[in-house]
Amino acid sequence: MIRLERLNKFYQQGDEKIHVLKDVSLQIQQGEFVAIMGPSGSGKSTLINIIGFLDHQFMGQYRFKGESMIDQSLSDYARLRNQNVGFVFQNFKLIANLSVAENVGLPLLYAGHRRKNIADQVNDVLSSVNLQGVGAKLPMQLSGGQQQRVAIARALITRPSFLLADEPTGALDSHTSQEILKLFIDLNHKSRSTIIMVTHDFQVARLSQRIIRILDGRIESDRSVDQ
Amino acid sequence: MKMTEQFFTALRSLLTNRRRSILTVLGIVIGIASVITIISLGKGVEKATLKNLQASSSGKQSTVVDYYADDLNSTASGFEASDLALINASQASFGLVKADIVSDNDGSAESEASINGADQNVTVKLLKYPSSDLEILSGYNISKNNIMLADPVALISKKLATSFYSSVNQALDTSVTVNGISYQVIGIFKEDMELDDIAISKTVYERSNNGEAGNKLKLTFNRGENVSKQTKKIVSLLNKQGSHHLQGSYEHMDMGAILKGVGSVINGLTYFISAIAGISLFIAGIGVMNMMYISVSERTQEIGIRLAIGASPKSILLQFLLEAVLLTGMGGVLGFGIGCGLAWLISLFLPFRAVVGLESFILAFSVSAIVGIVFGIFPARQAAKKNLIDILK
Ligand SMILES: Nc1ncnc2c1ncn2[C@@H]1O[C@H](COP(=O)(O)OP(=O)(O)O)[C@@H](O)[C@H]1O
Ligand SMILES: [Mg+2]
Repeated sequence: MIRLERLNKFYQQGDEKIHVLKDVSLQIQQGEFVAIMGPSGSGKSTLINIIGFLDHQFMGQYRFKGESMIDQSLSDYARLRNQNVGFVFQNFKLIANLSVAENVGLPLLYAGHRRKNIADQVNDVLSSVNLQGVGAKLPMQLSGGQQQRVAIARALITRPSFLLADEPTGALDSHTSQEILKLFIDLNHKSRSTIIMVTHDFQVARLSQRIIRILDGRIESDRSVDQ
Repeated sequence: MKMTEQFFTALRSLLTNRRRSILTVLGIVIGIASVITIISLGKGVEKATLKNLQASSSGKQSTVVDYYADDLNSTASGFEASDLALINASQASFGLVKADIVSDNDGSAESEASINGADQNVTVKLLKYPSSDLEILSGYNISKNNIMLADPVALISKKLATSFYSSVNQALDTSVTVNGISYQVIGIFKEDMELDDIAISKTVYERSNNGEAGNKLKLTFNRGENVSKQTKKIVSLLNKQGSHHLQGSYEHMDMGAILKGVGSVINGLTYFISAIAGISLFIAGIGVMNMMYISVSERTQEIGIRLAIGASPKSILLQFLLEAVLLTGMGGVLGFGIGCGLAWLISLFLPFRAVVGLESFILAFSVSAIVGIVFGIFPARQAAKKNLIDILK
């Protein structure tokens, strides 16, 4: 489904050009649960942003479902994000003055649905992450673990091709982290969801099927986890 | 995103920042309100002037001269036959067709009456139609037939009846003389608030009054005559030689001249106020722009999140542009309402009513919406151009 070939990424910082991703090539199949590991600053977020169509400035080839991403327009990228990717960020990224239900339903509005027609879908996805009855609350009124589950519900609502989670448990305590990870594992097992998760915690990465290690912008190792 | 959803999204963010939105839009409200006020007044005076001119284009034109006694309690009439004679003596030089003394328009007149052989000053209610307001105690009310046939019949008040006759019923079928015409009393009515003593048909009274007495003089002129100039001449003649020029004054209210005066004042004001409103709208527009820039930078995270979950830069631009237009548009509608109210209030003190048209509403709405677009487009573009990667870092 995802195929990267000799991907290179530079950041311009003042006069300097920083080489962040160096000749990264990898493939990810439908239904995989991949963990991306590496020290801070190694380029994990940069990689995942390119995979998730957030960043269109890179060198090399990216094919998604066989289609090249090189000559897509900005609005094509917006549509690709909306239809194919569910993002889960470290700090939840919920809109503070919208209710939980409105946050969860937002991707559907950008997909062209009407506000009044999406209530059932929003309720269904909220109960699938064990959050019944909080739709009317504001994100601030929920605990961190609950907010991350709202973010996961928002990521799931468009039935995307894959979930991208950038350190999803980084802001949570270990007990809550376990709950969120269990949710990911369930999604992967029961719904065959493709999940790509960035983490620097091996205890977390261990729960996936495949670990890709990145060091200094290069893939250092890529192997499956023996259960 | 569907347009209706864009609209609700924009509305919602405006309502989240209610106080800021209201303060920002105040300049628009004031600018639009003042323009609408002056335009409505201008239209009002235009319409009144047109109506005033139309009377003349139909051929003969008439004016009215009023007599005001110095002694407010005087019931004496200011115009008499001698006044008509005075004016008719130089009828041709005034370009007059005719001059008539008419009773007061308000439906009542002061007159001399003779009841049961005694003379008495009375207030006469002049009926153009049968009056259902009068409460008949005895006898009959004046009917439509009575009025159509100009029957000399009268109703008298209970007070008048009992002061001249021993009982109410004694007064029935007697006769009273008003202005030299004898009327048969067919009914007795209970005094009302207006304190009329006698009610008779207006047509009959006018006939009897012909050339006799009254406080209004109706002048009818030839086509093409400068009526306000000629009326002024007649008024000054009356004030020198009129029958009652020592006890009061003859006056003419020249509606055409008044409207012309007010009209030119309003025309001058329109330019002045439009200029001020223009400046006010411009400053308000800059205020809107400033608020939108602040809003865009405060909501950087929100913009990033929306982009990440699938908003296109175009729909972000539309959202912020809609916010600006909605804000100024609502200000325009509010300003329109306030302007209408203000124009109506001011025209209570002027001799015409303000006129508000659909085009005024369209003007208010479109001007304010345009202010929103012009001053909202730059902040909205900045919002749409934000770098997603930088926001989400
Ligand atoms: N917008 C940017 N401009 C310049 N340098 C950046 C930018 N984003 C990231 N970098 C640099 O790229 C490198 C990789 O960053 P990142 O992908 O966020 O690492 P990780 O997620 O693995 O911690 C870091 O050295 C970082 O400083
Ligand atoms: Mg990172």
